[in-house]
Amino acid sequence: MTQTDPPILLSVHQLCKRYGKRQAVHPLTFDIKKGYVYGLLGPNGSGKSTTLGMVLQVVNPTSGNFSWFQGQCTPNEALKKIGAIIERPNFYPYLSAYKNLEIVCLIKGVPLSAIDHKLELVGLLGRKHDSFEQYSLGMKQRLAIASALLNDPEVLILDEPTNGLDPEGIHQIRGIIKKVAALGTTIVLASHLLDEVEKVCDRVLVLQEGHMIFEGAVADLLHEQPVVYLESPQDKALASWIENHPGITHVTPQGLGYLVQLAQEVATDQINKELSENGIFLSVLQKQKTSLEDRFLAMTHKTNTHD
Amino acid sequence: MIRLLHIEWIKLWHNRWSKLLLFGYLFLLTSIALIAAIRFDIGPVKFHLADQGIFNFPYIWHFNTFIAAWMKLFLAIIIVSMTANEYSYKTIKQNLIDGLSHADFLKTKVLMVLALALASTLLIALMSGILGGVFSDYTTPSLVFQDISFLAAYYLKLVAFFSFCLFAGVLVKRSAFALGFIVIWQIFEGILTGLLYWKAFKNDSAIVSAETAEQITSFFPLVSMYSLIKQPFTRLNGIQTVAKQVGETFENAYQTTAMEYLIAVFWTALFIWGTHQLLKRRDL
Repeated sequence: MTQTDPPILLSVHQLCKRYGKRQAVHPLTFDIKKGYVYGLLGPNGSGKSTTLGMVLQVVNPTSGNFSWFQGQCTPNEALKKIGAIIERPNFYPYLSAYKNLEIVCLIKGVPLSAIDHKLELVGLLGRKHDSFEQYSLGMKQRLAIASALLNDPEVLILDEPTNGLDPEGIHQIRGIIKKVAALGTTIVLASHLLDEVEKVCDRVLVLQEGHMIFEGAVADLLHEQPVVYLESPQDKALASWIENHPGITHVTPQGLGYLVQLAQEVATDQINKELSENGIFLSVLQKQKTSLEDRFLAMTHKTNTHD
Repeated sequence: MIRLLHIEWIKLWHNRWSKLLLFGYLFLLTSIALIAAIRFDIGPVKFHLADQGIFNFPYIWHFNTFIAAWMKLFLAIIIVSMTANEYSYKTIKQNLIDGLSHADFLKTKVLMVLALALASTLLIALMSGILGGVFSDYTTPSLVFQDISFLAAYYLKLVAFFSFCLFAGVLVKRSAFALGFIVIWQIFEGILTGLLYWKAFKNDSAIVSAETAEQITSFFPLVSMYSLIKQPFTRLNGIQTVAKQVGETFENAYQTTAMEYLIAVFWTALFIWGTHQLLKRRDL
């Protein structure tokens, strides 16, 4: 059953950050393994960017430590094997896209021939001699991705890559991320757009107020508790049956029927069978797909009241 | 090192305003040569500045470096804005994330300072050599090279001032405010100097004597940079003659002392060290 685990690319141990009195990030421990697409989730101000800032060495941790590539290279060499964009594209506005990327190549020690190739990947090759300030926000964001890809990174870190973009821009960025993920690049995608994470990520880390409140596979998060919509002409019988069923943890009336949350071990076909045995016939039986958004809201709400 | 210089060069050379200031600086620096053309012919009074001995070896080294040092402001603006812009564009953050270490980032800036100062020094050396060759009354090698140490003082003066600019740019993070900071610092030193001398001259039983006041102020960063090249005017023959006629003698020592070099080097090192500390400790 145990397969050989993929190698750990980033290992974070008890990393935390305090700004004056405010504890932005409580001690965090997690690993980033090769080949996965990670989603780093959390509302604004939950500590996502601070955490990424620390592992990218632009924010000094208050305590704790982390190591890239199992400590096999110096922190700065490690950064040269990573591609990262943080919050918004940061380039020299007066320089052309090409010149901006030339600086990145010089820093990372990448041949200049990589520039055209990556610009083509993000669809900016035709505008490479335009200065950065003339670019639209979507183009700036795509240039940032091209820049992060210059060194064919082992890990790509993207912090809110679709922030402020129009649907067209979001779609383009998502396409690029999928293309890169298909090449086997490990990706860490920080976002508060849950549906974005749901669409592209394998695993998620959920942060709230600097605490990690969930870490695991997206599928686990979504399929934790299946939800089924039931509707029958024999409404009263159905209602009382639902109420007395031990395998149903939660009920919400919706429309003409009921939205019921099932305990993990209860299968849908079993419900159908039991109901017909009780002489209740369903007009609608529909398995509901829980969105990450529902789960996320449920989770953050739970911990909120807990505080 | 070439790589780091290359990075900085791309940032600088493709900036329209930096380029404009560089050319402006180049133009003003070479226009020192135009002084040679100053002549007044008012009836019997014939005055040709180039004949007054300002282009004589070894005096020319002193005169030219003193005059040219005023124009360093142009390069200072470039350095301050190129540094502060890294913060306003947030490109410093991206540079570091891309794998440039804090030390390497600092090196790109320090290399720019050294390179600009060197270029300026070489230019002023070349110009002084040519002007001296054309106008100097004396061309014996021992005289020609006698005060060549002014070039070293000039180089240090630029490097020290630019290091101060670098520090201000990183400290304040906004170019306009950083330039303001430099001006305010200058005023602050001026007030402090004024206060010391005022105390010194107020009465005979002063707490500080004029000598002590001078000694204290010589440790101020901007004063120390200024005193690397002292004013050359009282050294001119014409002015010396006039002074003698009115019974006044100038006892100014014109040479830069080892102590003066040392203080300026100390400040330079301190500013660069301070810049490094700011870079390392600040969260971006």
